[in-house]
Order: sequence, then structure tokens, then C-alpha cells
Amino acid sequence: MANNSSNPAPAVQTFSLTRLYGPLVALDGLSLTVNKGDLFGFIGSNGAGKTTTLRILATFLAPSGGRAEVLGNDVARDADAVRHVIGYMPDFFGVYKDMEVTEYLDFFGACYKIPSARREKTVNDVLELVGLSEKKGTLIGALSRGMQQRLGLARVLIHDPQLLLLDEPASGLDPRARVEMMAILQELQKLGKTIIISSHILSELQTLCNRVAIIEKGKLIYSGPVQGVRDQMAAGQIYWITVAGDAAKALELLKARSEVAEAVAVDGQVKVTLAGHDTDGSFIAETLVHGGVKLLGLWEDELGLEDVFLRVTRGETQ
Amino acid sequence: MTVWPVIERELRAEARHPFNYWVRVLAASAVSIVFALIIWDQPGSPAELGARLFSTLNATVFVTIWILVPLLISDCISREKREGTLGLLFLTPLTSGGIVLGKSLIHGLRASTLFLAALPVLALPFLLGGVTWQNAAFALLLNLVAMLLAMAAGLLASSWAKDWARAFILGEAFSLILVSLLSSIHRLGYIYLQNYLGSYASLRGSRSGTVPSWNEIWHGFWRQSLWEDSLSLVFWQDLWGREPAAMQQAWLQWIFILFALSLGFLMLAVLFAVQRVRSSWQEEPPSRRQLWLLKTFCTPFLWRALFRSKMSRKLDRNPMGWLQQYSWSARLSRWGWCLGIILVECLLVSDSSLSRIWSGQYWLAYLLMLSLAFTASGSFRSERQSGALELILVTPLSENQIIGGRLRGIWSQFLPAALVLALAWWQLAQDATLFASLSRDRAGLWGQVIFPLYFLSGFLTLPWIGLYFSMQRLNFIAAWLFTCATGLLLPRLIYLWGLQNFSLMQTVYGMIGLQLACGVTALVLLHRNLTRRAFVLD
Repeated sequence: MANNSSNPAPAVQTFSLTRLYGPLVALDGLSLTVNKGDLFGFIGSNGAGKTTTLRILATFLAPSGGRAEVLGNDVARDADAVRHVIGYMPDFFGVYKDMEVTEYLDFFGACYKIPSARREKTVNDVLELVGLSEKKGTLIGALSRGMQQRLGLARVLIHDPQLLLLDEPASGLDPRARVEMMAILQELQKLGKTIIISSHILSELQTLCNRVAIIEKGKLIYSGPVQGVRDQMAAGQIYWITVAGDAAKALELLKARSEVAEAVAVDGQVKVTLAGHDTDGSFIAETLVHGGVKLLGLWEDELGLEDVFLRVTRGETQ
Repeated sequence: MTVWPVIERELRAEARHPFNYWVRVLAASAVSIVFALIIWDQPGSPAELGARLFSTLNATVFVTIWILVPLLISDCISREKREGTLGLLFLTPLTSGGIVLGKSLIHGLRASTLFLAALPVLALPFLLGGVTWQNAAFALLLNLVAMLLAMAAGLLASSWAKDWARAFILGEAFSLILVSLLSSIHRLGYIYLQNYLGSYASLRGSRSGTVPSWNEIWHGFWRQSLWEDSLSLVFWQDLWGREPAAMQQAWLQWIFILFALSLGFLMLAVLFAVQRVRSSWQEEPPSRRQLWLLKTFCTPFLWRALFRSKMSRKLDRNPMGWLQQYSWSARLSRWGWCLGIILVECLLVSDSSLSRIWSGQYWLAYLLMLSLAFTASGSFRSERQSGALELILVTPLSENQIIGGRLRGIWSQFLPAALVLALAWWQLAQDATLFASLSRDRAGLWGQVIFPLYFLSGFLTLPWIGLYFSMQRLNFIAAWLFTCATGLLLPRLIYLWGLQNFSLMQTVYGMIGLQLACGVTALVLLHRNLTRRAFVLD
């Protein structure tokens, strides 16, 4: 996890960012702040506007309205300055399959105006970082999908950017490659990089990121710490209960309590949803024991980022 | 064999492509333009005009078939290979035979719409008169022969290649080989028939009633091409007017035989494609032999350090230009062109009569310009397909650097060939007798003075126009055709029109001015579209 300072400087700020594709509103007044050193998860359904936001921050697209700043530079007005400090990895490889690995990195190194004297060492360093040192002379077309993904990450790092914009960097990778990719990202965060990562694998974002944003239909639903999203966005805490004998009495007792929003029997167990996230669940055991129900088990359902995401979004796209 | 699902899918896919509509429009427009030019430029009786129109329009259709049909067909299987959908087809009960046959049928149908689009204009000479049923039957058969062989060329290329550019180039190369082969067989038949049945032998340099020697056939072939033999008005008038009925009948039979042979060849090509698809649909890593070939013939083995340092300097100076030259195939095309020009010039000069020395120069120049347009209009295609363009656009390279770098890359790829050609012209121009052989009329003037200017201006502006269309058109053939039409055809038409209405100098200024104006407009639009990211992404 990243170390949050008390008053962190923003690496990225968007102000009422809007993007239209003809009549389609891809981004609808998105205001977002990402602090320096954050490993920031960007979550949303397909078509929610994540890629559009990243493309605008990468200066590939111009916003239709509002503005965005990257490390103090406006993405529309100071695009050149922004390009020097960002590394953008889209959700496709963008490789020349008939090039060798070093040729590819050499080419992008030249695009970033790294002097040739320094380029060879830089290429070797980034290849080592992503674990592709042994594939230097290999044609890119002969690399596996995971290796091409790593090569994409090496390309992003070639000019030592301060901000990384990674769109689905782990998609299509096998579990081992995904774990390795996440380890590399954590390593990069330790080196002081700010990373914005959009991903569908929310369980990984949960452990990896210190802050997340949830976006739907181009609008921001939540932005803040990962723990905060659970607290704020979860409609109510869920408890599971196992009782001896018939659960009907337990259901009756629990439904009578005002703190309980819903109590239902599921596969021989009772699922209790509390009315608010501030409510303490300790009253459940007390109510059942006083009501004469023999309680066999009671446990709190741990809400994951995935559960929260499913609760707060409807999967609607533009 | 299951064919219908492939036919249905191809029909649906092709029906959605606006490109097919535009190709038909193009074919009809080309024939209409030729029609307008002939009607406008050459007076005569309606019957004479009809005959002249018919032969010229047919010649236009004939050439269009050889160029466009292989282009239309050559990516039909290779695209499936590239996009990985061929393997998915094989997971269903479809067989390679069904896939190739279904595709051949639909793409054959697609190619034949070219001919159908031109048909209304081709029918006009009938109304004017001067066209006999023999002429019509003969032209139809010859065009069908061309269509079948051009389809075979496209199909062979498509089953062979995976990369789009390789498929197109192979398609055109096979087309060139087949048209030459057809020309030779056609010529051979003609000479034999004339020697046994014709009254025309003395004009062809063969002794009547005797079998011509190979030397006579070879020289006859060089002097009289298929174009001159079968597509010119003079030939038709001679054939139907002077030759005996037996010769005419035998000649039509010979064309029928050619048609049957072409059909047979197409079937062989389909069988070859079936076999090739069956053996190569699975993604295989390069074999040891392929790797050896690549290492032995496609990588530098002399002065490697020098080569690397030269390429590294090039990369530092102009990364976008380096992209145009890093691969062995780009280097092969660069120096292959030079070698090809030198070889053709040697062949042209070695002909003792030097009768084709000037037309050879124009053909070489046109081929070079078409190739330049081909490279320019496919220039950003691989970046667009792979997504690398998006990555390049978020590097600190400005739009000007991206466009300028790529332009310099294209020019430097073709500059050696253009210089070799210009040097050959300079040497030829030193020989006063060669110049004297050219007529002093408009055609002569065009060749001696105006064509080099047209070539120079085309060399400058075609990359500008090609780059613009490479970003704006999803379909490569459309991009190439638009580039050629804007950068080469339009200025030439303006020249022909200007000659009727203005002085020569004004016309030349107009033509060159238009070429430059088109180029500059394309460049401005390209810059604007790149800045606004207003281009098509695959």
C-alpha cells in the first residue's frame, strides 16, 4: 500500500471533464483527483468511460468540455510537456510483429528523444525489470501474449515517466504472469511513480491499490480509499446465521427489529442485511438467544470490491 | 462439401462494404471518361467512331481487369489468416474446399460487377454502329479470359501470403506473369494460324505455310504485344476485313480454346488454394529452414557494424523514416527497384531497332509512380491496425515530425530508383538521333519535356496525397486508387482538356499547379486530421 502523506500533491486532476462522440456522451463532467505516489484503481463496466479518460490524460484525445491537468500541465494546452512525463499502455499491444524486441524499444526510445548513447543501457534496464532480458533478439511476433504485454510495460518505462496510465494491463495474462505484473507495479510505486490502472480484476485492485474510483455512464460514482468505498457504498452489512431446527422463528424475531433491512432463508442458513452501515451486528445474537433460538453460528460477510462494484453499478454503458 | 454458410457470410460481409460500391463507380467512371475523351477528341463518321470507341473501351476494361481483380481477391484468404478467423472456420464442419470455393464464387461475382458496371457504356458503340457481332464475341471472350486468369492470380496470392501488402504485391506479380503467358500463347497461336490459314503472314515477318522459328516468335512477341494484336482497331479491321473466313473461324476457335484453358487454370488455382489452406491454416512458428533462409539471405553479413551504426544514426535523426526502412523487405524493395530499372534499360537498349526505348521509359516511370503511391497509401496502415499509431501520437513527436519523418522515409526509399531512371533519361537525351525519332507533335512534346516534369511533380506530391488517404480510408485498395486518381489521373486529364482550350504553357502550368495544389491540400488536411485525431482506426 502507498504511504499517504497528510497533504499530498495531485498528480492528476480533472475538472468537469466531458467527452462526446457525436451524440454519445462518453464522459459526463468527470472530476477526479489522483495524488502523487498513488496506485490508483479505475473501475467501471465496459463502455463506462475509463479508456476515454485515460486517452484524454495521455493527450491522445482532446476533451469536449472541462479540462484535465497532469502534474500541473494542461493536457490540451501543454500536450508536449504532458507526453514527456506520462507512460501510456493501452488495452492492446501496439507492436510491430516483424521487429526485434530491442528494435521496438529502441524506436520508442528515439521517439522520446533519448540519446543513442544512453538508449542501449535504458533498453537493457527496462527489459531486465520486466523479465525479458533473454528475449532481446527475438521477433515480437514470436513472443507469447504475456511477453508482449510485458514488452508493452517496458515500452511505457523506456523514458522513465512519473505517471503511468495502464489500461487493462493484466487482461489475457495467466495467473502467474498477472501476479508478476502486479509485483512489478508495486515495485514501480515504491520507486515513486504514480500509477493509474484500469482493470476488471477487482480482487487484485483491492489488494494492489490504495485509492480507487468507480465510474459509470461517464460519471464518477466514488473516488477515495479502498476501505472507504466499502464503508460508503455498501448499503448495509450482511451477516449469516445458522440455527438448530426450524429457521422460521429466527426470521420472525429478526424481521421485527428496526435495524434489520432484510432477513431471508438461503440454503438452510439465514441471511441478514442490516439497514445502515453504521449499525453494529451484535444485537443479532442477543435477540435470537433471548427469543429462545439455539444459535449454532454467526459470522459477518466480508464485502469485497467486486461486491461493492456490483451493488453500486447497474452495468449500464453509454 | 459445405459451401453455403461461407457464401452467405461473404455475401453479407461484402454487401456492407461501401468500397464495393465505389469500385463499381470507379469502373463505370473510367470507361465513361475514356468514352468522353474519344467522342470529344476524334471526329469521324458514327460507324468509325463506334468501332474506335469499342476497341478503346474494351482495352480499358481489359487492363482494368488485370489490375483491379487481383487486388480485390488477393486478401480474401490472407485476411482470415491474419485475423485468426480461418482457424475458427476449421473448428466447424467446413472444409478447406468449401471455404475456398465459397470465397472464390463470391469474390468472382464481386470482380464481375466491375465488368457489369462498365457494360452500359460498352453498349453505346453498338448504337453508333461499326461493331460487328464477331467483334463483340471476341472482346467478351478475351475479357472473360482476363477475368478468369486475374481471379486465379488473386486466389493464388491470397492462399500463399498472410501479410496484406505481400498478398497484394504477389497478386499483381502473378497477374503480370499470367498476362505475359497469355500474350505468348496468344501470339504463338496467332502466328501458327496465320502461317497455315492467313493471308497476313508477310506483315508479320513469317513465311506463309511454314512453321515460324523460335527467333521469329520471340521477336514477334516483343514487337507485337497482346494489346496490339487483339485489342487494337487495326487488328480487328484486318482480321474481319482481309482474312479469309477459315482464318476468322479458326481464330475464334483459338480464343475459345484460350477461354477453356483459362477456366482450367482457375480450377487448378482453386485446387492449389484448397491444398495450401489445408496445410497452412494452423499457426505454426517459422520452420528451421525458414529461419535459415531469413538469416542467410535477409540479414546483412558484410560491414554489420557500419550498417548498425548507420541505422542507429537514421533512427536518431528520423524515427518515423527509420520505420520505413528497418525491415529487409523495405531494403529489398529499395535496391530491387534500382536493379529492375537497370535490367529493363539494358533490355530496351539491346533491341537493335530501339523501337520501344521511349515507351519503355514511360512504363518504368508510371510503374515507379504507382509503386510510390502504393507505399504511401499503405504507409500508416500497419500502425493503425496494430494500434502503434496511438502510441506514437502520445510520444513527444509532433504531428509535423510524424508526417515529415514519414515523408522523408518514403522519398528516400524511392529516391535511388528515381535517380537511376533520371540518369537513364539524361543519357538517352544526349543521343540526338533518339530524340529525332520522336515526333514534334503534342505526343512528342509530352514525352520529351512535359512528362519529366509530370514525373518530378508526381514524385514530390504522391507521398503527400498517399499519406492523407492512408489515414482516411480503411480499405487499402481504395486509398491507393484515390491516391492514383488524385495525384496522377486528374492532372493528366486536366492536361488533355487544357490542350483543347488553352495554350501549351498554360496547360502545363495548370497540370503541375493542380498536382501541387492537390498535394498541399492533402498535406494540410492530413495535419489537421492528425491533430484532431480524426482518422479511421481498424
